[in-house]
Amino acid sequence: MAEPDVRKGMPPVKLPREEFEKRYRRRFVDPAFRPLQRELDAIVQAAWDAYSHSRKAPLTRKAGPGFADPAYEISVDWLAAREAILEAQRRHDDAAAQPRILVINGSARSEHTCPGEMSKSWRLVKLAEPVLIEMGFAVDILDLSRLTAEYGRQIHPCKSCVSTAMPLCHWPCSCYPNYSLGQTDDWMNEIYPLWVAAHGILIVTPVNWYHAPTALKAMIDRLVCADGGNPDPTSTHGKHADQAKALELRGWPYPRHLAGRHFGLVVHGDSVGSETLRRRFRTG
Amino acid sequence: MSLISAGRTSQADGYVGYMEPYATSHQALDEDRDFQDEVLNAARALGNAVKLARAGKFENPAEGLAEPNPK
Repeated sequence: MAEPDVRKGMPPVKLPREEFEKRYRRRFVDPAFRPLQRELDAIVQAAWDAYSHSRKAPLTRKAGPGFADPAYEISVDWLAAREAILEAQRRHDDAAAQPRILVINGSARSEHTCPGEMSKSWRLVKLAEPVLIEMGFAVDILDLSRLTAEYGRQIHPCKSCVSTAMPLCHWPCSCYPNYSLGQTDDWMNEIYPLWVAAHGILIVTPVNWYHAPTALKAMIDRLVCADGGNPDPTSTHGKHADQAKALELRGWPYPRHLAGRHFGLVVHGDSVGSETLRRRFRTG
Repeated sequence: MSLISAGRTSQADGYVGYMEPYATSHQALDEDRDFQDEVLNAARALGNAVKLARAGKFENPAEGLAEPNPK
């Protein structure tokens, strides 16, 4: 077998100060910010310090026992996300606890922003909800239209660490928040525990270009870590590609962190693509 | 993902207001009782699958089988 190497050679992405400041400032357009130029100067100075020193996760603590490298300094955000999924798994495994169904609205449409009307998908979610409650389930609704309509909700794209090596893909995802790149407000750390706690998941979605709408696809992409991902980021000391490749080639068990949950799907279109999208959701 | 399908009835697909204006698509859904019932059946089938599994009556056919290449 060939020795793994790490292929580099893409164009640089690091910004010079002037360009960074231009991009950072361009959100402060509202007239309320006009009298605050001196304050903004101070904030941009600090933001540049954070960016230029690549402080992805400024708040860390030692991973502690149970990790390959207990002394490794790891993001407190990630530790909290991990604790949340462990707690959700405990609830999931409690046979005496009420079983849970997660119903996901995959439509971006919301009356609270540009479209000015609720989606049909939302109506179908609310149609299904009482039926599931009557069957004795606790129902959690994940309304992905909040990505378009609510402040501070993002699902940042999956960075595809998995394609470098499976153990580089951490469960839960450790790519976000990345404070130095301004990749914050990520919703997935709240979404992973919903999937973990659920015994059944029902996705209700319309069709965009024969595919899942952006928010739903973004969530699905960010679930790749559930499908064989590495629960111990200290084993790759964060995102060390070479360590992850070596780990994978020693034999990786592909732990299926959401195994055993049941799955249902409602896909609806206006003209084309409904059956195509249903078939795309191959849950194997 | 190693999720278990709750069966064909739990996987509904269809068209609401097929080729009709977007502007009246909610009315089209109001009238499409058949599709609404398919959605309810999808939810019921999923709920049934979970209940049967928890009662030990809906085993996973792939349980205990090792994937030769889990990638």
